[in-house]
Amino acid sequence: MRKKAAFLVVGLWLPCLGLGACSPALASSSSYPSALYYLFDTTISINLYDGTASVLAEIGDYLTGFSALTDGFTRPPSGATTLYTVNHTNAEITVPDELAQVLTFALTMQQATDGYLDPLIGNLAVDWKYALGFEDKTDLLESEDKTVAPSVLSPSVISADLAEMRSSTLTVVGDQVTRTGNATVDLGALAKGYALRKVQTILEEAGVSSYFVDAGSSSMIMGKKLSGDGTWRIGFNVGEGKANPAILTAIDTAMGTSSVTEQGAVIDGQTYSHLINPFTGSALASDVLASAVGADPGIDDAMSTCFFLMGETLAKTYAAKLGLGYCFYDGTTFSYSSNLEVTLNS
Amino acid sequence: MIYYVWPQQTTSVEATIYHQGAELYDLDLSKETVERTFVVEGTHTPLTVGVKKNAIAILKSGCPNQYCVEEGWVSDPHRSLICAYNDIYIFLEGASSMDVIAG
Repeated sequence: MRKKAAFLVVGLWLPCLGLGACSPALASSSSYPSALYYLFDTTISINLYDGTASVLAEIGDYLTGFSALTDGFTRPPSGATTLYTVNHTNAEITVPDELAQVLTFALTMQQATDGYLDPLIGNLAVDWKYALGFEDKTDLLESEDKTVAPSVLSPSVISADLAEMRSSTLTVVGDQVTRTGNATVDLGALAKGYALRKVQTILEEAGVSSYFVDAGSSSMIMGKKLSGDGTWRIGFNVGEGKANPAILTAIDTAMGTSSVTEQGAVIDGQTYSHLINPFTGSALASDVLASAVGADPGIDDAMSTCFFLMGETLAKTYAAKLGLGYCFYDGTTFSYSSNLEVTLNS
Repeated sequence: MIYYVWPQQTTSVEATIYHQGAELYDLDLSKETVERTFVVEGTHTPLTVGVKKNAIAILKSGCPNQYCVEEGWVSDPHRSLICAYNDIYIFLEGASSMDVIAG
């Protein structure tokens, strides 16, 4: 299914190269400018309560193009350079400015997190996805094959992938990108959040102050709600049929959330997720959910992944260093930083 | 006598079913009194959709990966069911104590 969705994205993008903007939404509402898109392998909900259709279209165009640009798995049209191109050459190449900037951001976050975010985790992440059954290895285009029963990735594969990561490099100088070695770049930890940075800019420049953009329930930006005191009430998905543990009240901010609820597998009583520790290669999850709250959705997206991998004790120090709020849920206890307004559900 | 109280977060749920961006059904799930099913034509295969009070599910689909079927019954507002293979998207909305759900 993933390849089919990726093909759909490129198929929509192709005419955009020559004709300019075109970004068909999945659905739209007539009461205020809103649209739903399927990009970055997830649904993106855009609601502009005091915006216009033209602003909505601009956002849709941008997200469609950026999703294709940062897709490391889909071959782009001839002549186009995307993350796929970076992942399939060891030569120094010239990339579009936006791709160079997001790669630079990824390298910056790698430094800021002391390696908890590693953009060269691509092969290891894919191997875990196949092992856990999140991706069907035979589903290249359309296949009758069903999902694979989840299994733990073998230590030998983990070791090999980690060795490749250690012996590979990614360098960005201006718009020149060089990837050495066999490890591939995966921007899944921050691409959606980084894209929402640009969406914030579009909204600010258009004077839109009441909006909510939800990218896969994992990256969000929000302005002011038109009703009440303008704050949004954000719950947390901790599993089908499980009660929401808390409500976060927020306004004019952004948020990133990483969790096992949508992409998790239980094997022999232990939960594995799509969030991979770049030091150990492990996909074992010790928490259910971790969120980062702060003004920059790119940092929030990256840090929610890192918070999840670090665990609460270590995450607190990075949250303080970066001026972020955080939430954690370990299956029993919901904890959060004192700079957030949270109401626990009893 | 023991009372079990399940947190009541939603009073009514509405589901809208789209195919390739076109709205097919707009359902008030709070008015469903019995569980029923109906067939929706997807791009490649038909899907069997089940509805019951404040919940909806894709019970059967001809898609290769079956992710949409494995989601099971969904009742949380702001959730969605997606069969990308068949371009079928089901979005839920409802009166809730929350505006959105993260995670």
